[in-house]
Amino acid sequence: MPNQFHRRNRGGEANSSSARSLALPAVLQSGGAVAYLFLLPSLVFLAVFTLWPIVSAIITSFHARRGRSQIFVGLDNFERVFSDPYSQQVILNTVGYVTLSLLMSVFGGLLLAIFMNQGLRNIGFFRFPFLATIALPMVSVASIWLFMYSPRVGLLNDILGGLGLPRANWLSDPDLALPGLFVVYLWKQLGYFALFYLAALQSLPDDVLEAATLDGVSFWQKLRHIIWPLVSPTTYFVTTIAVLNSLQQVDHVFVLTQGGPNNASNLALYYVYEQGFKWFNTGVAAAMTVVLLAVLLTMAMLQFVYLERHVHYE
Amino acid sequence: MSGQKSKWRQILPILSLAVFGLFWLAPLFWTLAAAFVPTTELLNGSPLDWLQNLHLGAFEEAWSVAPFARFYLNTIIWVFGLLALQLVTVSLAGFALARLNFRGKDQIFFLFLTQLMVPATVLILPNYQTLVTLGWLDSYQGMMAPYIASAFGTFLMRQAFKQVPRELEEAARSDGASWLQALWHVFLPVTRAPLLAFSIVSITYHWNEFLWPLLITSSVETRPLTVGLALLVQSSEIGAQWDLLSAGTLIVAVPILILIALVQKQFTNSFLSSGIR
Repeated sequence: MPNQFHRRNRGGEANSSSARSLALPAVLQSGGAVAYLFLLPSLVFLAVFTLWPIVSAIITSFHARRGRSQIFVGLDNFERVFSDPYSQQVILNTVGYVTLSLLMSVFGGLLLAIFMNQGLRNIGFFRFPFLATIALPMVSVASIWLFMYSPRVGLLNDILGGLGLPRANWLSDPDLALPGLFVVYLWKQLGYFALFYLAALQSLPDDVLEAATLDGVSFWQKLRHIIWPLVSPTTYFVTTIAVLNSLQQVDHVFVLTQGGPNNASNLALYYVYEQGFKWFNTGVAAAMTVVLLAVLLTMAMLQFVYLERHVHYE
Repeated sequence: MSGQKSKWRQILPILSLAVFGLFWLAPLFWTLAAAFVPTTELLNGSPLDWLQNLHLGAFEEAWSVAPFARFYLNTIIWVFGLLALQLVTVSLAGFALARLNFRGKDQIFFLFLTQLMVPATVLILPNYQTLVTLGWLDSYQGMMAPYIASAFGTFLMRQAFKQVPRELEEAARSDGASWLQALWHVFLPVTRAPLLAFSIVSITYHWNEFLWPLLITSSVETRPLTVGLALLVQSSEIGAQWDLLSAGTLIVAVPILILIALVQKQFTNSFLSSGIR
């Protein structure tokens, strides 16, 4: 990739005859018109694939299909989303999953970052294991874990067995299916959150951390009273991304459990897929989409307020 | 005494990190083993037996059971075709937002922000309906459409263009160059790093994308690798053929692993900046 860029750019510089063909008509030379022209391609696609779908989801969420036509049903779809036991469980699963992700990304991410930061600033080699999993496709990761979880040949049960613990049938046990999905997500994404903390730790002055070590302060005291306050802007940032990120995870549900057994591992976005594309309840799927949109926009708002208040950190 | 102690202090964290890293990658090693070693050997033999029985049979079989070559082509077309389009849209839009004055700038800025708040994954249902209306189902342009405008890329380029010194721009403008020429000859050559960062994020993200392509593709001619792999995993006739499954997993994942091994540092930085996406 880099080479290609270099080549293309160098070619552009050398070949000045092609420059003339890039000239715009004189009318468009003044700033304003040019700006709109430059923005046009992005604006068209933003309007059709970001703005319109938001409006369209809201409209669809108030309608239901009767025969071949859509009729207005008021808040029926939302009532279904919030009061039907099936979708209630989906919401509960999602809240649990997102909460776990939050804890994992903040505490797990920070601990892994501290661990990675121990005296080996530039040894990228040791970071590779945690970076590799971030870059892997979730579908591949899920397939790897399908294998890990497999009762017969799975490595996980071998390890459990070796430790004298009971073997489990991870993905077909209603109590273990959702935690099973979470472990997959943790394995893939922990390094991602650690990266943010690692960047924050490395921007701290060396003497702050070393001074604390010399005074014989315990690790936990240091973590709580020195590191934690200093990385708090990162923590806020990581929290937001963790929610955004975990709400969007659906590929592993598709590959590993399809929401089962018995709806035990169904998540909001998979529910949208199920309702909209398997059972063709577009109204209900749209209602869940609107709920997700509301959550995301509320979070964006909170982040905006926070940034307004804490500009001095930036 | 104390010298020895401090030596251990240095080695121990590195050692434990290495051990933890190996442990972390155990699932990947297990998958590697399963792809290259016949399943019966894997379950009954020792690692020494494994090494004596390495074979590529599972890859050959996976390659013949599913049209992976075609899936590769599809993934490359959709990921790099999309990247080409994105590079055009984000450079133009980023430039306008960074360097040009016009009415409605704040409103337009907010429009881009909306895309950062609402990821396309959440909008699969309404976007699918739009594709039905446009007749773009089962097509590359349909797969690309929701991502052609990229707020993340636009903001990244806007930030980069803002840092280009005014004198450079004025020199170009005084030569009578149009804004487009200034962008091409002055701004883009000095902003290769952010362009590369954006490219890395875009390639990894879309190479790995699954649900959206799954929904809108329905033929071998458009399906990307991820969808092909998921269908292979789910097809009942394959069932418990773990060697085949592992080979398929590696076929999809290896290019991305190679990419990040090559550009590990840029990859790290790119993903740090992608947090805002």
